[in-house]
Amino acid sequence: MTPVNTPPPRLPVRDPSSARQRPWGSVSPMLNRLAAEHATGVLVRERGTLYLSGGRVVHAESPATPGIDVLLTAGGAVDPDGWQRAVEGAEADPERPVSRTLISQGVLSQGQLELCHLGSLFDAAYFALAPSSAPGHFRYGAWHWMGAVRPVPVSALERETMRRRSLLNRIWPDPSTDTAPLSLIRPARTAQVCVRRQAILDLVDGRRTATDIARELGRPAFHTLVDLRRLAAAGLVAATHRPAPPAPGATGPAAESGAAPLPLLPWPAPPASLPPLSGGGSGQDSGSAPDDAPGQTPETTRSAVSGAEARYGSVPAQPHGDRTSPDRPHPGQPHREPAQGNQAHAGQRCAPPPPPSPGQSYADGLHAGQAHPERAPYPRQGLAGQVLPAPFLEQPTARTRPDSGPSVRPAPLVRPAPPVRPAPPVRPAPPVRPAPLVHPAPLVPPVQPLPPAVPPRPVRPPDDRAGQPARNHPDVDTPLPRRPSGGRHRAGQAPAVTVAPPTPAAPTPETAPAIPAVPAVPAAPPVPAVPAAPALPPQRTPAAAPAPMPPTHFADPDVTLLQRLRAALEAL
Amino acid sequence: MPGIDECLLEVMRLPGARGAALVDWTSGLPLGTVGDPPGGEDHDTAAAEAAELARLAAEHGAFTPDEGAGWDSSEPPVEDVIISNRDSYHVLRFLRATYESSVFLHLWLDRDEGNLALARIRLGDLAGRLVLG
Repeated sequence: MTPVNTPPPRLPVRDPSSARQRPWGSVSPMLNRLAAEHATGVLVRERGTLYLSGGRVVHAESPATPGIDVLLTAGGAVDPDGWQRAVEGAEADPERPVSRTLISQGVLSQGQLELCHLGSLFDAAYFALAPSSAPGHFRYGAWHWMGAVRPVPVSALERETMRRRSLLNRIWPDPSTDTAPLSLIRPARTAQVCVRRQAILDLVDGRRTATDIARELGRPAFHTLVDLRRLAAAGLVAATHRPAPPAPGATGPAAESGAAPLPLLPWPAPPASLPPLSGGGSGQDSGSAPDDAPGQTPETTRSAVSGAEARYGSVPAQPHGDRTSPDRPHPGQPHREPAQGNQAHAGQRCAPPPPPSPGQSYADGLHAGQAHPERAPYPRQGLAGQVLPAPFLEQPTARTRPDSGPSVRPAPLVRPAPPVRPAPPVRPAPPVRPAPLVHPAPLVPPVQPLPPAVPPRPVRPPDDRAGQPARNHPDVDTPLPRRPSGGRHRAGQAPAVTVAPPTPAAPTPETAPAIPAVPAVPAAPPVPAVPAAPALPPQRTPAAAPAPMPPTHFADPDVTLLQRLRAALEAL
Repeated sequence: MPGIDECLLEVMRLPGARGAALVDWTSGLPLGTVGDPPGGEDHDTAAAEAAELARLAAEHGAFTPDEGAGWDSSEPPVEDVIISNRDSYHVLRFLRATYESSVFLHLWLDRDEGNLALARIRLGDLAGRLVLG
C-alpha cells in the first residue's frame, strides 16, 4: 500500500478573525458583501427577505411577523381598501410607490410612515437575519412596491439584530415561546399584568404562536416576543408541547413506562441557533447565517425563494406554490398559512429544541438546582459543540413525544418539576466500555470463575453509600447499572447511564456477557451478616439478558431481602 | 411636519438642547438621533437605557390615570417622564400613534440654559405633529 503523505485539503471554514474585527460580529456575511458593493435588489433568506437599494436596506419582510400593511390597517391608520389600491398602483407604476401614494393622499404623515416603516423594517429584519440552515440568495435589480422610506445601513441593522437577540436572552433565556404554540400556566387575572401584555394573554389559547398573536394584535412580532418572554419569566405563559399520545393526566413514571420501548436520548445541544449571550464575541460566528453554506436541501431554498420569486414571476410555480403572495396578504386578513409553514419549517431546522421530557436528564438538572433551563447540563452531554445533521435533530422530537406530558414546561424556576422518579433513559446499548476494576471485591470471593471474555466487574467498596441500598427501588425491573468509575451512584443521576433495553435488542457479543455483571453495583451492605445471595431468582433476571446470569458473588441487598421475604412467606 | 429628522432638528432648536432621540421603548431601538448622546456613550446605549425607564413608567399601574380621566387604553398611560440631575434635564415624551407603537421622544436639556416648562410644551406639540402631520 502506498502511503499518502499529502495533507487533506483545508475545510472551507469561514475565517472567524474577520468576524472578530467587527464589533457586532456578522449575522450575514453575504449582506455585508452586498452592502460593500452598494447592491440593489432583494436578498432572500430562509426566514425573510431584505430589500436593498444602493447597499442600504429599504424594506424587510418575514412570514414570522406581520407586514407593515397589517400594522397600519389593524389599528385603523389606513383603510384596507385604500392600501390595496395604493399597492396596485405601485405595482402598475414603479414611479408611484406606496409610501409616496399614502403621503400624497394624506392618509399618513411622513413622520408616522417613517416611524411605522422603520419599526416594521427592524422587526422583520430580526427574523430575516435569524440563523438559517439554507443559503440566502440575492436578486439584483429587484425593488419593492413600498419604496424607500428611510434606508438603513446594513451595519446598523446587524447591530440592532444582535442587540435584540441578547435582549431577548436577557429577559428570559428560553426561546421556546418564540415559535411554539403558547398556553397559559395559571389564570392570567391573578397576576398584575400591564394592558399591553394582558392583550397578549387574552389571545393565548394553546394553539396560537407568537406570530399569530402579533398578527391579530397588529403589533410587530418582536414586541410580542419581548412581552412573551416577560410573561414566561413571570411564569404565566409557556410553550405548549405537542399533545402526548398517552392520557393527558399521565404522570411521569407512567409516561416513562409507556415510553420504555422507545430509546430516549439526552437532548443534543442546540447547535448554532441559540442567541448569543452578548453583543460581541466569537459565538456569533457560529450563530450567523450560513449564507453560502453547503449541504442545504433544495427544498428549503425553494421555500424561501418562493416568496420573492412568485412576485417577480420569473420562476414557475413551486411546490410551495400556495404562497403566491406571501408577504402581501390582503390587508386586515391574517395571512397565516405561510407563516405557519415557514415556522414549522424553521422550527425543525433552526429553532432550539424544546426542553426534554421530565424523565430525561432535564429533570435531573432541575433537581440539581439549575437556574436556567438552558444552562441545565442536559444539552451539553456528549454532543456539545457538534453540528448535528438535520435528521438527527429531528429525531428526538418523535422519540420524546409520548413522554412529554402536559406537565412539561420550560419555565422551571417558577414551579419545580413534579417529583419524577428518575427512570433510566433507555436506549440501545452502545458498546459497553469494559468497566475498570475498582475494587477486586475482597469481601465476596467469586463463587464461580469468570469466563475469560468477561470484563472485570465493578464492585464498589462497601463503605460507599452503604446506608442507601433502598435507592435501588425494588419495583424497578431493570436493574440500574451504575457507572463504576464515578464516585456518585445516586439513582437520580441516571442520564449518563446506558441501560440495556428489556426488549430483545440483540446486544453485541462483547456486551452480552457484561450486562449481567453490571447489576453487581448496588451497594454491598457493610453488614457482614448478610449472606451472599445464592443466585438471582429467574423472575429478577432481565428479560433481554441473553447470556446466562452468572451466579452472583455479591450481596445485593434487595435480592437478599426478597429472598428472605419469600422464604418467610413460604414458611408461613 | 415632515419626517423624523426634521422633528428632531426642530427639537434641537429648543434653548439648551444637547441631544434628542426617537426611541422605541419595547425594543430599545433608536429610530432617530441628533446631537450628543447623554451619558457619554453612544446613542444606542442611551436609547436602550431610556427605553427601560420609559417602559417601566408606561407599564406600571401606579402611573396610570384614574378612571374617568379620559384615558384610552390604546394610548400610553403616561404623557412624559421628567428627570433632573445637577446639570441637565431629561424629558421623555410618549407618542400617540394611530397604530400599535411604543415610541417616545427623548430630549436631553442643559439645566442652565434650558427651560423645562417650555421644553415640555414644545415636545408635546412636536410629538403630536410628528404623528398627525
